[in-house]
Amino acid sequence: MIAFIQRRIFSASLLLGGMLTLIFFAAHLTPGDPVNVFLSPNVPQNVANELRHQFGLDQNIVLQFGQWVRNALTGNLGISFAYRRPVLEVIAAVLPNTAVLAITAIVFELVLGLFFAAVAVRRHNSIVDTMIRNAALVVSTQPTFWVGLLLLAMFSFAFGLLPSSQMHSLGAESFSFGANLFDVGKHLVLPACTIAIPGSGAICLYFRQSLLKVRREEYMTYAHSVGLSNWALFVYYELPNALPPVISILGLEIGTLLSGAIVTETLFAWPGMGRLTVLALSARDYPLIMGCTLVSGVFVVVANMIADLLYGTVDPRVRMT
Amino acid sequence: MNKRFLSVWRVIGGQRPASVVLAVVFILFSLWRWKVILMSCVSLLLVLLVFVGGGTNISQCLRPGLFEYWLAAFVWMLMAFLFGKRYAKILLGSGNNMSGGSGCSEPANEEGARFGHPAVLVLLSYVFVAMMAPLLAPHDPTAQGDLRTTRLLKPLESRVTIGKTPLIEKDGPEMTSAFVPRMLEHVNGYLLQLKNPYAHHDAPMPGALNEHDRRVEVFFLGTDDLGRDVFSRVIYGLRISVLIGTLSVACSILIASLVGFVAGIQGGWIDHVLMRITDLFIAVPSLFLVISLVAFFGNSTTLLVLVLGTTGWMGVARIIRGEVAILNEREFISASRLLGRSSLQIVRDHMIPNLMPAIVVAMVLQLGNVILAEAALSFLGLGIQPPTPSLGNMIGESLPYLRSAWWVGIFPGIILSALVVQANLVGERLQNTGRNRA
Repeated sequence: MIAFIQRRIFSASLLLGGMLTLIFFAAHLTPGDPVNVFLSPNVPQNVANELRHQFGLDQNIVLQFGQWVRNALTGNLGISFAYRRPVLEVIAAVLPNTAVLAITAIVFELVLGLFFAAVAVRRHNSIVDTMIRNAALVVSTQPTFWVGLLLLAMFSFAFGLLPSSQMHSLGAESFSFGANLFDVGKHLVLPACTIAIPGSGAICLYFRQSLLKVRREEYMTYAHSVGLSNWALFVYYELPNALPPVISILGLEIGTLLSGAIVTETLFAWPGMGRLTVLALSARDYPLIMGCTLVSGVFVVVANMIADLLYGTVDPRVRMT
Repeated sequence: MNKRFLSVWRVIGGQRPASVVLAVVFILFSLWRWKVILMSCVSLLLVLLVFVGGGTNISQCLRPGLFEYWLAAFVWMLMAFLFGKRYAKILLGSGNNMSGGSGCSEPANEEGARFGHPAVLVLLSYVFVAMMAPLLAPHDPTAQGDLRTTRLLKPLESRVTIGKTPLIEKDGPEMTSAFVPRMLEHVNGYLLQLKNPYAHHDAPMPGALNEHDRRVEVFFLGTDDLGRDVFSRVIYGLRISVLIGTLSVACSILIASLVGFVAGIQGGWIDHVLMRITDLFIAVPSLFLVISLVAFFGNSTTLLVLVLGTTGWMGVARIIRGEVAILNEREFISASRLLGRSSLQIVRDHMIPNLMPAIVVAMVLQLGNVILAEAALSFLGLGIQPPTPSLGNMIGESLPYLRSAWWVGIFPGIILSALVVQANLVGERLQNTGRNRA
């Protein structure tokens, strides 16, 4: 177990290093100057050079990279060009928003996916099963921005039930704690559903498959003949045995979501990591780009690793060595 | 006659389904736009004349802007040629099962196969529409109308214009500067001149504004905020999606088979290194990588294709490598190796035919993914740039008008989601069929 974790951490840090190097050099070597984003072209050359010197952009690029790595290892990710604040602060400000969105979405997704899969299996080969399967197949392939657009058009514009963008209503600072919570919850429903609906389709399909496989096992017949109730069968035998594929999908998904649901956050103007990343990329804010890359890379790697470990716990046959 | 011809369904699944459908489509199409077909035939003859005569404009046919379309057409033709015979039966022939004619029943019908059969036809028709975009689109997808009269018209709303009636409609943005449409315009002008000897003068035509030149334009799916026809834009957007999808799938299949075959056949440390690289690519969140690459390197069509192609090959490479490793142990491979055939010959004669089903399935599934990725990029404003319509950027641009004009964003969305669903259904069907054969 320990050896497995060590090896995973080793390969993960290799991966992270490779990704950071790639993004760093791709950002710095491609045409486009961050200084031009902040200064008008009328500003004299020496002022621009001064700013470039302040940003540390006048050094050799390899030296710059070395500098960044040295600082990053001591926990200093530099100062964002656009926000004029430490990168860590900027990221820490939006990370909770992304985490709230990601966790809500995952919970929705799991509940929807597992529920419909269980129903479909209970009524296997009936019309309900066919309908659920086809719906899940269609839903799981839908692009998130299309789902979000439909939800917006229906629940926000046509019925006027839910707010269409942002995280707080105007004047939310003066709300009481309970009202604030309710307000955020109302803003949370649409983006979370946008992420959860396509994902739940995939989870439903996988879970249905593995449930069907489990039900064909001999121990299920035995447990049934012993006289266990359907509920007990489901909770103690079917669920634990059918869960592993779902866990590995979830691991991938949580990592990606925590590094920012880029499209959904843009659509709903949700102030999270995804939108920050896109902003940083378009403003060529090099320190912030690197910070976002690092944070999202860490999330993806850690989530995958935890999923693998969980997989081993749920299914003892796949003990990692 | 017999049972097989009882319903349209079974006709499609009958003896020569594809040709029947194509013939019907072609006849309907030619009835609809006979003028266009006539004119393009004339211009094609003119092109051939110029070609034979050695004019100066031949290079126009091979402009870099058009090159991508030629390439996409070539890839589709190649695929049709390579896989047409083998898969026509699997894809279209299951109608025979419905009529109970064939002896072996297909247990594949249980899982997702029910949709597969019409899905293939629908996917092919999408490709057909995409390839024929300049002929099918009733309006220029980028031409802005008079904003006072054409802004945000509802679907099926019409507008009356008074003025010179063009003999045929203008072609799309990519084609207008190309050689063939210019020839077309030339012919057009010539015919107009025959009809009206004053047409080539700058002076206004006598009687141009009379009742005779009154013309009603119908916007089938309405217009967007700049008075552009949504229907034409959807058709052109579909074209971009299919184009980018096809090319980048071809690109990623190329990389995947290179990596997969080399890793599977060589084995040893080469295999190890290549597979670790594949793992690295899998672990990187692909949308993040694609977005940063596109943000840094710009977003021409070629770069989009390359970026999407180089971020989508990992799954296929793994599949190919696994299958090759299994095949390597089989007797017939060892036999041909003992006969002294080189690795390349073995790959060509034994590996590729055996791997084709797996590769085709992966390609079709990848097509759906790539189309989605391109649409997401364009939606964020990082993919295809605004004057050129793409399904993604149409949806993105429609957001400010969603409250007042739903049709601007909803129709491209419907087409996009249908396209992706079809690609996935076809992939699934092929997969199930392959599994049953094996």
